[in-house]
Amino acid sequence: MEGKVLVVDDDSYVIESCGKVLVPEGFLVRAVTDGHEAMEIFFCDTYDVVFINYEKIHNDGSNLVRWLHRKYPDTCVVAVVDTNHEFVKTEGILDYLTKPFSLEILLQTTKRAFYLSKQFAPSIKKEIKTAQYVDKLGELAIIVNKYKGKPAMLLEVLRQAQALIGYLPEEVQKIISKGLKIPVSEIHSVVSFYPSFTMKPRGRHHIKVCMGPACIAKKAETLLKNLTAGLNLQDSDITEDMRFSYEKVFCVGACSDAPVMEIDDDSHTRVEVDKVDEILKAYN
Amino acid sequence: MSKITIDELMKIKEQALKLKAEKKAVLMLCAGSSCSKRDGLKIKAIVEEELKARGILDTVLVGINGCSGLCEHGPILQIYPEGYFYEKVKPDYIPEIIEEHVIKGNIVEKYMYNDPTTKKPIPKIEDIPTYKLQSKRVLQNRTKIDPTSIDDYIAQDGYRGAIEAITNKSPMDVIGIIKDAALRGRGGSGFPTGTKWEIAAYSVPPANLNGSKYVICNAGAISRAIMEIDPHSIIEGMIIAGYAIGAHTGYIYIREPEHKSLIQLMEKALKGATKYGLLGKNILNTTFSFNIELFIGAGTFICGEETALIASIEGKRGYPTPKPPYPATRGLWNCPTVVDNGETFANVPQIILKGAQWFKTLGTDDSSGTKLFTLTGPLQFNGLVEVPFGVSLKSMVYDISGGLRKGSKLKAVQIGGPTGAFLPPSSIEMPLTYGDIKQHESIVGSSGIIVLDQNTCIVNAVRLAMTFGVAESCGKCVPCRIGTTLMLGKLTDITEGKATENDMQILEDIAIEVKRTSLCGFGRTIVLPLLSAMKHFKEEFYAHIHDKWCKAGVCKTLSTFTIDGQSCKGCTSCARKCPVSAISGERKKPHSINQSLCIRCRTCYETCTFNAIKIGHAAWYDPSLASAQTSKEENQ
Ligand SMILES: Cc1cc2nc3c(=O)[nH]c(=O)nc-3n(C[C@H](O)[C@H](O)[C@H](O)COP(=O)(O)O)c2cc1C
Ligand code: FES
Repeated sequence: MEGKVLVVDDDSYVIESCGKVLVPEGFLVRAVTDGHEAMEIFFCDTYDVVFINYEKIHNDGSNLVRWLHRKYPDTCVVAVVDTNHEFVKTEGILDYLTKPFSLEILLQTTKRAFYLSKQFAPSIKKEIKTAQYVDKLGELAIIVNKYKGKPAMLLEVLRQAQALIGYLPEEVQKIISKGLKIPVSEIHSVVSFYPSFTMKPRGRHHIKVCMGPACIAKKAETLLKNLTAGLNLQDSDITEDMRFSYEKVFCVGACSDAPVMEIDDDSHTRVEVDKVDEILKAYN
Repeated sequence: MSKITIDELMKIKEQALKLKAEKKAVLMLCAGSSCSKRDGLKIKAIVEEELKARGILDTVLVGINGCSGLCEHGPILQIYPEGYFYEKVKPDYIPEIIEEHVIKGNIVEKYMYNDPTTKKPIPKIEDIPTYKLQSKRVLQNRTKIDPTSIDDYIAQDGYRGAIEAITNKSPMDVIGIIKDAALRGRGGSGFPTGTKWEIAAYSVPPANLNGSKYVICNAGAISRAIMEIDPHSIIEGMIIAGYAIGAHTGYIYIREPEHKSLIQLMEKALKGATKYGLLGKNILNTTFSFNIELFIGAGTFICGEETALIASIEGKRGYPTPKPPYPATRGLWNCPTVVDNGETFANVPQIILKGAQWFKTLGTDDSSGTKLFTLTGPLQFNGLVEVPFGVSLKSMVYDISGGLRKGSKLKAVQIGGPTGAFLPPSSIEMPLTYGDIKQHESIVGSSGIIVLDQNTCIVNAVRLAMTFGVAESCGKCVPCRIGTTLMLGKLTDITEGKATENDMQILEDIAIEVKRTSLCGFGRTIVLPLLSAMKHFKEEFYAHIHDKWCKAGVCKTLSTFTIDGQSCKGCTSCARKCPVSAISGERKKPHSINQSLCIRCRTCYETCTFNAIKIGHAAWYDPSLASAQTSKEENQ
């Protein structure tokens, strides 16, 4: 793999590990300890991935991050942080590397970051750099890469992407669009068509209540009423603490075991409608 | 592993049988979804522990099987060689069962299933009345095999049909047998499977597309049940289909990505078949190669329609396309494609092995063989059943499912799943065959039989069916998309008492037009519940429109609940259950309902064991409606 990595850190462990792991993999690695120095280097040559210990280094690491984000949106910035570092999403940072790390993790993180820097056009990257799920983008890039140029695998990619991020916001659709070479409009049309895909975040546990005819004949309406009352949901379909969200579906194909309620990947069949609360207890 | 030969397969069979024969006993636990929920698998661990504690773990085999169909009696434990079973097994039963039954050979009657009428224990599942009346073909291995074990399947003569076809028959022979057997598609439309395969076999894939042919299993509700019991039967059927039409790739389309356990089960089954060389290149050292992949959809009912399903596999919106061209000539990637229901495939291996004549011994001339149905409703028995075609609806409801529960009166039967017609009790003699079901203007559809009792308001049931239509209409063609919404509006008006007689005519006109002009089977069938209900339950519609009276007490604005002072014994149970405390009265004296508090939730009606709660028309409470009310004062 060919790529250029800049390490901005004064921890010799980080610098040495980068040299040890990344050079044999074909990466060009350069290390500096000072923010200004890093900027100077960037004037002559750009790098695909920059590891920054932005809270520790001399001459304002945060400024460097902002500067890179503005000037070199193609570069993927990875923050090197301590274990007890409080996780704050910062604009311009695409991934985190927590110290101490194994050499394997270092390599994985670098490869992921490298994908990210190559994969996406600057316009998307600007949007996604500020997104909520920024820490998942590396994995998303890997998924997209696996199915690159295979438009027929769209459903599979969307399914995996949703499993990863929890929903399919616009920017994610744009990323997939680039990777699979399908117009975003078409991706949106697929996402909005299939009920399993969602563009809104769901709760940690997603409940589906079957409202098909067999289930209705077995009191699914009471079940739904008990469920929404138990979760204190009036108009919204998601609880305030994001623990549960629910939707109504029409026949999940388990009519012989009506009424049916599905929570995440478990399907609860022949539900006793008065005991919904007990079922929910198992999900936290 | 090198390619399996027939001898090797027979060896696997013998070994699997020997393994069981050598053991003193084989204990099988039901691992169907319902039994698993009730700790069926925890019981397996307990059984193993108990056996280990007694030092007999190696003389006994402990296995699992797919849903036994006795979900209400689970967890189920069967003990072979006798095949006796215990119901509602609890952990503390285990020591006794093992001590008495496994070691000493005495059955423990008190934990067995009791016949509801004679109160005598029935030791074998096959002897339970509902089972006795069923046939065992597609579900021949129910309760017998572990769905996760390919060896178990082979031990029951599994894959012999595929071997017979591939090594001894030409593709045209295979198609000929299927045609002779008059196997019709189980996925709803009942198209002759042999003919479909023949068309696909003679169709040529477009050369410029590097074409190939495809076999797709459309795994809906019934197929899912089969997969959970006997997944290899579907795989074997697909191999035979692939051989017959000359395809090299098959897909199993599972619509719901949430069914993780089913997906894992199928993955495992496919892996097993590949390992034995029953899938892959040069199967059985012949020139025939065939692979099956799982395709996981993303929900939505319309993707059960074959052209929509194909669009979905191609990574597109699941929109149906006009037919012709049929998938058999131009399907997936424009290549000849056979799309069949899992149940259709599951029938194939046995037809090849036992012959077309054998297959026709059950069923009728019009519909040969057996059919799986799911039975739901206020019945003694709910669940999956297999019956020969031609069994009457009556015997289905009263014999196989043991009749209606106490207090329930048959009001209607909906045949064909969510888009099937509502039939009145007078149609109960109808034999279940493709022809008869069609004659009654319904469909086999997803093979659901839903029994409704007097607590159901047909108008409301139709409204709910139409809600389904609105939600699941894919939106491609105008009649279906707009028609369903318009019909739902009118139906809602009726259930709220806002409709006029004219609306009935409008409804019927829209329904007929939607049926006539819709692009795919969805639009053509979604109006069946409405049309059938308007035909058979006309009075009920008029009671809603003219009398403002929902006699079932389901439509809230069209009913009043009152207590009949003469029947009320003052037991207070309704007063205690009423969620809004609208019922008052002294103990042992007739109670009354405060109409301004009543929310018409039906709780009191369902609670009362003396039939003292009466359902009246809305005018009984709301005097402004009284003028509309004539002399029709009848109690339910
Ligand atoms: C709205 C709609 C839903 C359908 N759903 C299913 C289904 O879930 N499973 C199925 O096998 N066939 C379904 N079908 C029928 C298929 O289009 C097709 O006829 C069937 O898969 C053919 O298989 P068969 O010949 O084995 O019956 C559906 C059809 C329509 C119009
Ligand atoms: S109606 Fe609920 S599973 Fe079919």
